[in-house]
Amino acid sequence: MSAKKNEGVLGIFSDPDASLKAVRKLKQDGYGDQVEIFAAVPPHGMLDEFDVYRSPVRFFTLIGALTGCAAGFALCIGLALTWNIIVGGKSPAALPPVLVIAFELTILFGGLATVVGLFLNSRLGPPKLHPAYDARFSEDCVGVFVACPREKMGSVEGVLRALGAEEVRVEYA
Amino acid sequence: MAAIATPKLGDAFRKINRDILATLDRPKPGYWVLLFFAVSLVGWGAFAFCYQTYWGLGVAGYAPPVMWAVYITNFVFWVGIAHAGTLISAILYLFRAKWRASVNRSAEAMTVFAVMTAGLFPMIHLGRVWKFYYLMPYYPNRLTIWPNFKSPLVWDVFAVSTYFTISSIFLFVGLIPDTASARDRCTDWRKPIYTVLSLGWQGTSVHWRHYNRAYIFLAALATPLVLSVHSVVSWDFAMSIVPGWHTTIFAPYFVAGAIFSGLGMVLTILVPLRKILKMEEYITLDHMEGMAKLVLLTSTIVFYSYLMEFFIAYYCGEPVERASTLFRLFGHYWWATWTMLTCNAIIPLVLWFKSVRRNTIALFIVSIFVNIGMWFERFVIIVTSLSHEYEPAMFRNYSPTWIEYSITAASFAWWGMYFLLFIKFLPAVSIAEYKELIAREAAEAHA
Repeated sequence: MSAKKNEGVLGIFSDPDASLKAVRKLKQDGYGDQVEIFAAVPPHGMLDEFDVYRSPVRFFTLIGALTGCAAGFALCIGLALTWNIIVGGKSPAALPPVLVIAFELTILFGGLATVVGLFLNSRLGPPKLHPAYDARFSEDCVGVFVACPREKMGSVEGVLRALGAEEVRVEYA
Repeated sequence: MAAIATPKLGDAFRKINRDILATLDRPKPGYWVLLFFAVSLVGWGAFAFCYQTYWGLGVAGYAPPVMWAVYITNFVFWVGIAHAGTLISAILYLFRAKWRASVNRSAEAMTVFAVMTAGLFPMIHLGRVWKFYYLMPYYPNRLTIWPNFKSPLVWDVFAVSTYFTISSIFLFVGLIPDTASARDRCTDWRKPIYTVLSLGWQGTSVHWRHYNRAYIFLAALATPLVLSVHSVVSWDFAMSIVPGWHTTIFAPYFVAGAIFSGLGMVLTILVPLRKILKMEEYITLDHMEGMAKLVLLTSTIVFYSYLMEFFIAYYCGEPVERASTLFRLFGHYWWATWTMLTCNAIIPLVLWFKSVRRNTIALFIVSIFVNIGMWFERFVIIVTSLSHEYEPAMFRNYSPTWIEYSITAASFAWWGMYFLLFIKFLPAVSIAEYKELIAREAAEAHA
């Protein structure tokens, strides 16, 4: 995105394939990170243009799950050793029951960390919408927004129109 | 699998938005009548609960040795009902079962409300309900509560609360794109609510990229959880030495039973729901048939477990175990056992016939029998075992009173009340997933 990330050109496509072609063309033209889409469902192949497999949410899940597992063991073994009852010379910290608690906390912490990862990385939470957002994007249209300085708006608009945008809007910050 | 067939994807998407969001429009009088009935029944249950709290558990028919009875039956039943939602959301999502897209939202909501209902029963069962707070937040050792992690009851607290949290997260995360659709369409007082619930969702590449990853990881985490929760619930019984409970088959038996009962309840609500909300185009006969096949599969597993229980009781050479099983089959509660066997093992066999699987009225009737049978399964396990343990001098039969009947009926109304509110405030079919399914099928057809 450019310094003024809300300033640029928005193309509204009713044909998802056309929007995909537009994104590919704009990336070829060097707009790379400045392109953003708005879609109810991303057109087939669209997310590959944005490298979907590199989401850091996976690290949140992993760290959360490992933390939960460690917390489960620490909680059960720690408390058993702190308030121990020695019966028949056996260790107060029995392993099989600890596994159940550790498993549940692994899942619990992993799930919570996944949601935290989703919210942080997607910047979900504040209900404020992008100025270029249109209600049609949650229904049947795909929006392709290119953040660019004013001098390049004309050429971007041309690309979007040439590749089938039904409506093109210029957004100023 | 998707029933919508329109020449252009955009037209199909528009239709999906229009049809599914139309279910959130102003309800008809019949809805208010149902809601009033549910709230009234909940009120009656609340009165029965207050009466029991004032006079003590004795008014509920509890008497030694049967100190776990209808309330724990209800607890296990509702936890079992909760299993279908996460099965459909998580396991079938990982297996890419296409038919889940139309039914997952209702099943997830059903799951959350069922766990909320189940969570009431340990409190009701306590009698002195104000002592409940001793169970949860007082780790480590406080108020003379010993931190005993070897108790299956403690495992249960962890398992059920984890299940509730993860199921709620699943439901909430799945709803984010759909509440954004509702936000963009809604113009009345609900708009600010949808705006907050949608968390600023705009369907950008960043949103979809992290959302899709998060959903897969949640599904991967929830899959073993589905299998673990009812295993842990089964260990509440199997870890004891009560005849009829102390058996190693309990965990898979309970899990299969839970999925069986959960799917039965999904069918029970989906058959009327698709009619009332005019969702026949989205919740099709193919979807109903897919669930009917799963009901049949789990029914056969449950039947096998019953037979195995009887066989082991005969084969183990333990007279008390054998006597307990004979008491189940031919003793005071024979009618409950045979109701269980008929409803869970015999009646679902009609689902072998395709014509039955594709007949919604027949499916509804079968699902009602499944619900009845699975409630009686838990009743039989709990009550017959406790009333006929080791010491003949302590054999005693249990009969529920109006208190248990009222609270049990109210639990169904409580669950139904939340479901009725849900279908009018949130989309009962996942808009985003249905669109995704259509788009994928269109891409495959194009390829």
